[in-house]
Amino acid sequence: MANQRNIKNRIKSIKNTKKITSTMEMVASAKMKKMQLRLEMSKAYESKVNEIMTNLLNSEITELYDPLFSEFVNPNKIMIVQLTGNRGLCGSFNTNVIFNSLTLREKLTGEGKETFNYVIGKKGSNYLKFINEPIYKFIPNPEDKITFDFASRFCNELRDLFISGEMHEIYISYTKVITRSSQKPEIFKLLPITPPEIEEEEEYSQRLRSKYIFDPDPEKILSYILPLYLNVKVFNCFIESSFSEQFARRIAMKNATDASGEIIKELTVTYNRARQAKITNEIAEICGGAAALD
Amino acid sequence: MRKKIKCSILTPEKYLYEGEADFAVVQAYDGEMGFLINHTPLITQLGYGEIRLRNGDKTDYLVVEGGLVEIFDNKMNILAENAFTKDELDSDEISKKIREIRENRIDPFSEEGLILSAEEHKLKIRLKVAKR
Repeated sequence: MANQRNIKNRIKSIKNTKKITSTMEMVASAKMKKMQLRLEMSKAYESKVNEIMTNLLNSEITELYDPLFSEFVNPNKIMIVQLTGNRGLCGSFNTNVIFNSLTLREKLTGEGKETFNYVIGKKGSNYLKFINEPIYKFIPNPEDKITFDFASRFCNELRDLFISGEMHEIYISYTKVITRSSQKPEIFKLLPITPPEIEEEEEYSQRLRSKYIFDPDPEKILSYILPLYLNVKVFNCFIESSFSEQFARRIAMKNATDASGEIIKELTVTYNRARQAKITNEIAEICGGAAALD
Repeated sequence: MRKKIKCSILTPEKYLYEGEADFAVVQAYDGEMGFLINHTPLITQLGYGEIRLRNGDKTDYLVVEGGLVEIFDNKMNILAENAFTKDELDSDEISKKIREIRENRIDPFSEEGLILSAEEHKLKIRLKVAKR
């Protein structure tokens, strides 16, 4: 049986761990709340941009064409952008994204296509280095310091790669926020652009019937809105990913705090038992000694 | 009570403005454009400039730096790339920045010079609104 002092030390160290994890939980939930606000803002913006875009694509005025829509006949240079976090201790958040991307990569390699990994976040790059996967480029995740400016610059870089023909298709692998409490790793094709789906809504079909005036002409607006659309989309991915990371960290830390509480409880029982055994032992010794004197 | 245009101004980072206006003026890509009630549905591109929203005797001033405006069914949505309300701008700070740019003026036709003069142009518009 472990002696009293050993158990006492263990309890002490677990109490410290509990303090750390519960603080991390609080930090994560504070950050999560901030990200949630930003997420709501950018979601509203994105849906508006999507709406205008669908309006444009459905205006029967001209045939709209933009190089960002053009698909390659045989796309064989494919880039996968992986959005991971900089830090761990957030459950399966990073691994989900990484494995999702690796599955896609395997599938594409199986079809004889060349893939390139563009990694955002230290965790992703560390893992790829560990399994000896080549990395095309790496940048750290800006996390909650993400600005729209940063997302635009990053998106411009991707767009240049696509337009110059260096990459034929670009995918983004990230964690999508479905509702506030459920997130899921997802991969979507950023370029070439697939037009947003039309939602059949009452108000919407009414809008389609009423003709908009476009100023300047629809083509010019389209060539303006497409990059904006991409930028917003990428910005949203960053925000959603950061939100999910904080959410996952909060859950992981909550579990850790609960688990350490349980361990402390168990250890306290063991400690009390050891103490009691010692006391009983001493009493028995004293009684034995007294009996021997008589 | 007269009917009014519902205005909302959004940027990717924040929901900047929500309110009503009798008369709205925006800076379109090629000049100012005004909207009154019952305007025909329209989508236009915005330039860098000031937005004036008149509501009764009160006028709200904002700066929008690029974006789109959509007006439909007396609702005006401005999707800006970047925007500020008048209260967010500090005229002293902006004038200081403009002075800095002017003092360090370099060849206006080099790439850096062009960026700086574009920046100066933006700041001038912000200053104009801040001083309203």
